[in-house]
Amino acid sequence: MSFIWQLLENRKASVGAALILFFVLLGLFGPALVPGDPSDFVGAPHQPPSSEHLLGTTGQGQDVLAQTVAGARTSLAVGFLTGFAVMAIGALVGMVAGFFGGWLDSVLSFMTNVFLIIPGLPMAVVIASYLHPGPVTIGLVLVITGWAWNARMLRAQILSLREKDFVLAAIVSGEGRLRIIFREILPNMTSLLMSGFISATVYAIGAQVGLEFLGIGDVSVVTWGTNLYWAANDAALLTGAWWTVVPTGVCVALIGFALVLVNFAIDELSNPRLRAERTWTRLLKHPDLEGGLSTPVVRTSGS
Amino acid sequence: MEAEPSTLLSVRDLRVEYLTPAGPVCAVDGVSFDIGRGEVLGLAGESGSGKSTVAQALLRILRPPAVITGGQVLFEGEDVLGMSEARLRELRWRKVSLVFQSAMNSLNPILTIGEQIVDTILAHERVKRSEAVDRAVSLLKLVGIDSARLTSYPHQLSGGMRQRVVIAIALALEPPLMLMDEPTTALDVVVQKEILHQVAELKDRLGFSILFITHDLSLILEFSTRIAVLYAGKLVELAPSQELFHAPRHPYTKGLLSSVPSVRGPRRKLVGIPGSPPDMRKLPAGCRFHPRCPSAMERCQADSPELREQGPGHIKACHLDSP
Amino acid sequence: MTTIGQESQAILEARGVGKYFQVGGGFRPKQLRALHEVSFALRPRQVVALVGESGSGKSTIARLLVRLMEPSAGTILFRGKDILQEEPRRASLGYRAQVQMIFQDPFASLNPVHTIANHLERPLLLHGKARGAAELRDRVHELLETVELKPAVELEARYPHQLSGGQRQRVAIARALAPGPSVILADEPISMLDVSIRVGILNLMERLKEERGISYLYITHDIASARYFADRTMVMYAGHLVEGAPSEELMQRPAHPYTQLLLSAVPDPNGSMKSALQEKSGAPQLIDPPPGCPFAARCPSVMKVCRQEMPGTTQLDQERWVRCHLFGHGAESGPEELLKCSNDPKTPRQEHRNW
Repeated sequence: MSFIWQLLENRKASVGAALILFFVLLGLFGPALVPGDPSDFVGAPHQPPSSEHLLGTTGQGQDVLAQTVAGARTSLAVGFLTGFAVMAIGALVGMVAGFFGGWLDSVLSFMTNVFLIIPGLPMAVVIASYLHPGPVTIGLVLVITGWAWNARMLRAQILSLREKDFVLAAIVSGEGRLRIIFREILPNMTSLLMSGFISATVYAIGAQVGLEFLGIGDVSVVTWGTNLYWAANDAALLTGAWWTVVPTGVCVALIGFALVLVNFAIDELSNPRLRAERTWTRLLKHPDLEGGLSTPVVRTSGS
Repeated sequence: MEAEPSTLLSVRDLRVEYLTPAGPVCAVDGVSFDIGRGEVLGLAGESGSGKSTVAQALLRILRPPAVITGGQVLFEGEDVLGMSEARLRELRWRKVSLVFQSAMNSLNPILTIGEQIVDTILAHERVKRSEAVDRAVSLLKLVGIDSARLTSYPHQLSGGMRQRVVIAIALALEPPLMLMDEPTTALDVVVQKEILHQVAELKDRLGFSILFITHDLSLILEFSTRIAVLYAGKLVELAPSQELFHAPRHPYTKGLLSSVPSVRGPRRKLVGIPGSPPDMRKLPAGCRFHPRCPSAMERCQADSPELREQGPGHIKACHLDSP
Repeated sequence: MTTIGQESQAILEARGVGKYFQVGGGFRPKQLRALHEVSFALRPRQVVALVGESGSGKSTIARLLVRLMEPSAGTILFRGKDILQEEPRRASLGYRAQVQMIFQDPFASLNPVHTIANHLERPLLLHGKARGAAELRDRVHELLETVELKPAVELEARYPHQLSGGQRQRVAIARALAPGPSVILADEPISMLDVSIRVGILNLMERLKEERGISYLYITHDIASARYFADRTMVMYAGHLVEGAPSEELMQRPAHPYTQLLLSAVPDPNGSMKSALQEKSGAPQLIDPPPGCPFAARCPSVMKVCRQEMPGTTQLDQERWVRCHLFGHGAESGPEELLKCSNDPKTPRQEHRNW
C-alpha cells in the first residue's frame, strides 16, 4: 500500500483528500450538529442569512444550513456508492472480457458498446421516470448508464497486461487463471482503478444533482439536487434569494474539485515523467533558460 | 590538449547532469575527445555509460532535466555551448546530423519518403523544388534504395529500408559530421552489415566524419578508426581500434573484450565482468570501475585516476602501471 | 521427414510442427506461415541453439513448446509421450514443472508489484517443493544462492525495480529452476543485458546444466553466443529450420547458403566493413508464401527447382543435416563435393573457411 502513502505526500492529493475528508465528516456527523428535521418550516420564507439562520431560509421557510448539511449526507452516500458500483461492475466486465477473450469477450464488448452509444443522461431521465423515485433509484440509473466506459477502459488495460511477460511467466509457472487475474494483473491496475472510481464518483455526484434538479427523483427527500430544485421552483434567483442556491452550489463544486485534485495526483504518481518535470521546472527558474529549445548550459562556479 | 587543425570536432571536459527529484545526477563527467575530418570515432559503453547523452549534448538537443554544466565543445573552431538558437539550428542537420536507433520509426507516416527528403532540403537551403527532388533521387540511390521508392510511405518499407531513408535524410545537406547512435541495433545482422558497408563507402566517397555509438564491441571495432570507451560517464580508454583490440590497457576494456563470444578463432572460455554497471545515483568513490575490477588496489578506492598517455594516440584512466 | 538424433533419447521433441495465423479478415483472409514443418529433438543435458533473424519464428517455437500457444500442425513429444494428445486443453502442472522458460526482457518478466521472494515462493508452493514457512524460506535462499545472488536475505525483500538487469535475469532463472525442470527454453535471455554481464548469465546456465542435468533450447539472433553456449545449433529462416549441426562444425563449415550469409554478416573486429555481402537483402514473404524454398529469392546459388518445391532434409553425416536443393538428390553435385568445393578460394564464401 505504499502507493497510498506516496499519494498523501503529494500536495494536490493532500489538499484534495483533506477536502473530501471534511465533506465525509460533514455527511456523517453534520446532521447531529444541526439538530432538527431539515424539512421543518422554521421561519419566514426567503430570509437572508442572519444569526438565527446562518445561511438564511428557503422559499418554504426551511433552514438552508440544515438542508445543505442533510443534503451532503444523501448526495455523498449516493455519489460514492454509485461511483464504487460503476467502477466495480466496469472492472468485473472489463476483466472477464479482456482476460478470457473469445465469445465471452464478444458478448460483453457488444453490451459495453451498446451502453456506450446510448446517450447517458437522456436514458437516465427515461429510466428514472419509470421507476419509483428516490436517491436509490437515481444511483441505480447512474450505475446502469455509467459502467460501460470503465469496462471498456479496463478491458483495454487487461488486454495489454495479459500479454506482458510476467503474466506469461506466471502461466508457465502453473498459476491458475483466477490467481493470475487477482494477484498478477489486478495489483498493477491500482492507480487506474482508483482514478476510475474517482471519475465515476464525480460523474455520479454531478449527474445525480442534475437529475434531481430537473425534478426526476423524490423531491421530498433532502439532497443537494432537490435543494436546487426547490430553489428554482421558488424562483429564488428571480427574487434575489442567492443564499438558497450558493451553499449547495459551492459544496458540489468543492467536492468535485477535491476529487479531481486527487485524480491529478494519481496521474502524476503513475506517470513519473510528470513528477520529474515539476522538479526541474522549479530548479531551472532562470530567465536565460526558459523558452529555449536547446540543452541549457549552466556553469557552476569553478568551471 | 590543443586541438589540431585537421580537427572537426573537439570536446573538452564535457559535463552533463540530470536534475532529478533526488538531486543532480552526473551522466557525463569530464569527457574529452577529438574527431578528425573523414574519421570514424567509436564511442563504446554499456547502459548508463553516458554515450547517448554525449551525442545529444553535442547537438544541444537534450531536453531538461538534462543540463550541460561544464566543458567546451568546438565544432570547426566554433563554441557550440555558447551558440544562439539560430546558430544551433544551422549546426543541426547542415553541419551535424543524427541517426539514432529508433529513427526509422520517427519518419512521418503520412508523407512519402521522397517528400520527407525534399522537405529536409527545402527547410535548410534555398533551392528550387525540382532540384530538391533530383537530389532526393540521388540520395536514395546513394543509400541503395531504388528511386521508384520515392513515392512509398514509410509503412511500405522494411525496418532496414527505413533506416536507410533516415541515413539519406541525414546526408541530404552533406554535413561534415554524422552522429550515429546505435543505428543498426534494432536490425538483423545481415541488414546491419549491408547498411554499414554502404555508409563506410559513402564516407570514403564524400569524406564526412562519423561519431559511431554502440554497445556492440565487435561492430565498433570493425567500423571505427579510433575508439573511446566510456564507463559510468567517464572516459576510461581511447585508442586506435586495432590497438584497442589487440592491446587493451584498461581493465574494463580488457573485460569487455573477454565478454564477447566470437564466431571466429578458437573457442575459449569467457569470463565477463563480475557485478553490474553502477547506479549513477550511487557511484562508488575513487575509480568508478574498482568494485568490478580484477586488479583493483587500495588506491583505486579513494583516488579517481586521471587520463594518461600510454603511447601515440592511446590514453587510459587507470592507476595500474602508472606512477 | 528424417528425424534427427535418436528418438529414444530425446527428452523434448517437435515433429512437423507448424503454426499458421489468419490475417486480414474480409473476403479473402490470408495465411501467415509463422512456422512450417519444424522437427528437432532435445536430448538430456544438451544445449540446442535456435538462430534466426527477427520474424523467423524462433520465439514461436518456444511458446508452442511451453504451451502458451497451440500448434496448428504436428506433434510435441515429451519423454516420448504426445503431450498434445494427453493434455489437450492445457498443460498439466506436471508438464509445467518439467518444461520452464526464461523470457527475453527481465524488466518485463517480473511483476513490479511483487517482491523477489514472492516470485520464487509461488512456483515452490504450486509444485509442492516446500511445506511450511521455514522450509519455504530456506528454499528461496537456496535458489537465490544457486543463481549467485547474494546476500539472499537482503535481496529477497526487494522489488524488481530495485535490481539491475542482470540481477533480474538471475531471478527469472531462479524462478524457472524452482519447480525442478528438466528442460528450460531460453528466449534471447541475454540480448537485453549489458555486454559485460551477458557471458556471466550464459556461464551460470552452463553450470546449471552440469549440476542439475538441465537441457536448454537456446533461442538467439546472436550466432556467436550460440557457438559459445550450445552443443548443437539450428538455423531458422522464415519459419523453416534450414540447417542443424554441432555448433562448431556449423560455424566452420556452414552448408546452407543462408547460414553462410548469416556468418559473413557477423561483425569482425579484424574486418574493415569493406567486404560486401554477396546475397541480396530483403525480408521473406510470410503471408501467402510462394512455393519452393523461402530463401530462393535471396540465394546466390538459386536453381530452378528452388522456386518450385521446398527441399527435403538431407543428412550430411550422423550429426548434420540441411534443407537445401544444393545437397538434395536433384543437385548436380553431391554434398561432399559441394562442401569441398566451397573451400575453393574462388567461391564467394571462401572467407569462412580459414578461421
